[in-house]
Amino acid sequence: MRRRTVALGAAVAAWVAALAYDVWLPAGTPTLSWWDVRGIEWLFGLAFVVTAGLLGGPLVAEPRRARRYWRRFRRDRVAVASLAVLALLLVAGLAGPAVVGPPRTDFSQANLPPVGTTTAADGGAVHGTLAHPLGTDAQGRDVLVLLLAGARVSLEVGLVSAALAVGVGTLVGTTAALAGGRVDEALMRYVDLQQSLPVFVLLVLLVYLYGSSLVLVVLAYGLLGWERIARLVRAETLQRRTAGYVRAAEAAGASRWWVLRRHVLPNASTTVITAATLAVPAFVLGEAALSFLELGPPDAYSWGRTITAGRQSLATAPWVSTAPGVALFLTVLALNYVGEGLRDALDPASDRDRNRPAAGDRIPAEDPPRR
Amino acid sequence: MSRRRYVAGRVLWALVATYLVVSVTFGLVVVSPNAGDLQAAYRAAEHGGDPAAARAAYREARGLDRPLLDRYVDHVVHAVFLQWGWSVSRSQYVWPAVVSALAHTAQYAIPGVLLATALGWALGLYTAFHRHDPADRLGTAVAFAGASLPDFWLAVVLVLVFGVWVDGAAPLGVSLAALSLPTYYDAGVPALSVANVRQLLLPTLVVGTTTLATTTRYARAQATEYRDAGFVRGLRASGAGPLTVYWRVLRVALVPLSTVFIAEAVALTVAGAFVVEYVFQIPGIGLLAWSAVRAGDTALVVATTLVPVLAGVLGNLAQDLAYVALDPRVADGDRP
Repeated sequence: MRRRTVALGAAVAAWVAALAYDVWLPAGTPTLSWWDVRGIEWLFGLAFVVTAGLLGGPLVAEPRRARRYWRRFRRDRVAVASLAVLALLLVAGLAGPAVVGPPRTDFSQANLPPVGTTTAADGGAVHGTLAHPLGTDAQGRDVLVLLLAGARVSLEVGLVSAALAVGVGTLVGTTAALAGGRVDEALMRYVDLQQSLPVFVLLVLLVYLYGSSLVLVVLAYGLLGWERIARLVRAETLQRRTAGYVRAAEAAGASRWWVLRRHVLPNASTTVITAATLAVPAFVLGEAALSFLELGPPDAYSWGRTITAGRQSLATAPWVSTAPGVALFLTVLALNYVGEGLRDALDPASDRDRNRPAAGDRIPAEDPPRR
Repeated sequence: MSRRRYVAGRVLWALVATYLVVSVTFGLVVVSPNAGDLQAAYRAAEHGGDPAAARAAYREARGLDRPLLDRYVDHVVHAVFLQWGWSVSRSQYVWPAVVSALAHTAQYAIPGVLLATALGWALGLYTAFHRHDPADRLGTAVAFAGASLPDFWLAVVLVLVFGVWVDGAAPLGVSLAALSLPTYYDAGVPALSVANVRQLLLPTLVVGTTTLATTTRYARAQATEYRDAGFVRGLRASGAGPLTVYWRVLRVALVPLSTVFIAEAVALTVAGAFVVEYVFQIPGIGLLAWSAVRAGDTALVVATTLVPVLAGVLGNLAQDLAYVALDPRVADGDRP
C-alpha cells in the first residue's frame, strides 16, 4: 500500500477513536476541558481529514503535476483572487472563532457604527472606533466577531455537505456505469427525480419535524444534492471503460475494482472536484436562507441569522445586515469563479486550445444551478 | 421507441414519483417525534393529571392510535382527492388555503420569471454574437455577480434603498421621495390597479434578478455553440438580417433552454417564494408554509411543502415532454 493511503487510514482511525472516547464519556461532560466538540464539528473534522488527504496527497506526491495545474489555473487572475478569498475564509472560519471567542452581548455598546463613520442615532453624534472595526448590532455584539462565527458555519456546511455529495455521487455514478442495464436505468431515473426536488423546501419540512440543527442541514444537502456529480462520474466512467489502457489492464487480468481504483476514479477526479466546487454555493446559500427565515440552528451564528437580526434596525444601523451580506456574496462569487477556473485548468481539452476562449464562453455544466 | 410509448412512459414515471413522494412524506411524519402529544403529557403532569392518559387521549383525538397501515392508506387516498386535512392555525381546510396563497405567489413569480427569461435569452444571444465587446464583458460579469447574489439579501438591500434611503436623501437638492416604493404587501389592494403593480415591483425585481443571471449565462453558452454553424453561415450568405439569425439560433437552442426555464420557474416558486414573501410579507405559499411552521400546524406544513415538491415532479414531466415536442429525435434514443 502507498504511504499516503496508510496515513489517511491512520488519520480516519484516530478520528474514530476520538469519537468513541466522546461517546464513552458520561453525558454532559465536555470532550476537552475547554471545548465540547459537537455533532457538526465531528463531521467537519472527518470531512476535513478526508478532503485534505484525497486532495493534498496526490498534489504533494506529484509536485510536477501540481505545478502544471497551478500554471494553468494562474492564467485566470480573477480565479486566483477568488482562491485567495476562499483561503481567507478557511483561515477565518478555522481560527477566527477560537481567537476572538463567541459573540458577547453588551447593551451599553449597542448599534455602534463601523470605524471611520459617524451616526447621530439618539441626538448625540456617535463615532465608530477601532475597538469594533465593523461596528456592533442592536445587542452590542461586535459585527466582526459575528462575521468570523458565521464563516465557521458556512465552512462547516460547505465542506461537510460537499464531501457527502461527492461520496454518494461517485458511488452512484460508478455503480450505474459499471452495472449498466436495469440498475443504470433505475439509478438515473432516481437522479432525474432528485434533480426536480426542491431541497430547500424539504429542509423546511425536516426542520419542522425533527428540529433544526447543522447536522440536519448538511445531511439534507449532502444526501440530496449529488445528482450532477453522479451524472458526470457516470459519463466519465462509461467513456474510460472502453479506453485502450483500461482494456489492456483488463486483458492483463486486472479486477473490476482495480480498474476502478487505479484508472477510472483518478481520471474522473478532476471532473468531480469542479462539480463539487460549483455545488457548494447552493448549500451555503441554502443554510443562510434557512437562518434568515429564523428556522436555522439556534446555536449557530450563521450569516443569514445576522442579516435577519439587522433588519430590525435597518434604518438606523444598516451595517449590521450589510456586512454579513457582503461576506456571503463574496464567498459564493469566489466559489463560482474558482469552480470555473478549475474547470479550465483541469480539463485536458483546454490544453489543446491555444486561443483561449473568453470568460463567458465556458459552457455551464449540463444542469442549471438549483436551490 | 415510438413517440407515444415515450410519452406514456414519462407520464407513468411521474405518477410513480408522485406516489413515492407522498409515501416518503408520510414516513417522515410518522417517524418524527410528535411535539403535540409530548405537550399534552407535559400539561397533564403540570396540573397533577396522568401524563400517559393525556397522551393517549391526544393521540385518539387525532386518530394517531389507529393501525399504521390504515393511516397510510388514508393518507394516500386523501392526497389523491386533495383532502389534505384541517389547518388548526387558520381554522379552514388546507386545500383552499393553499390555492388562495398560490394566487398571491403567481402575481409576482410569473411576471418575474417570464420577463427575466425573455430578457435573458435576448441578452445571451446578443452577447454570444458580439464576443469580446465591452458590452459582452460587462454583461457576463454582471450575470456572474447576479447568480452569486443571495436573493434574500438583495431583498433586504432593496427595502433599505427604496423604503428607507430615498425618503430622506436629496442628492444635489433633488428629492428622491417619488422613487419610494411600498415594501410591505397590502392584500386589500385591487389586483388590477397601479398600487398593486407598485407593490409587486420589488418582489418581481428580486425573483427576476436571479433568473436573468442564470438564463443569460446559459443562453450565451448555447448560442455560442451555433454561432459558426453551417445554417447560420448559410443564412448570412443569403442576406438575412441579425434578427432572423437570432431567431433561427434561438429555435435550435430552445431544446436545452426549455430545461432551464422550467427548472428555474419551479425552483423560484418554491425556494425563492419563502424569502421574498417573508421580506415583503406577501401572503403566498412561502409565507403560508413559514407561518404554519411557526404555529406548529402539521397538516398545513405538510401540504405547503408537498405542493412545491409535486410541482417539481410535474416540472420534470413537462421538461421531458417539451424535449420530445421540440426535438423528435429524443424519443428515438431513450435518454436525451
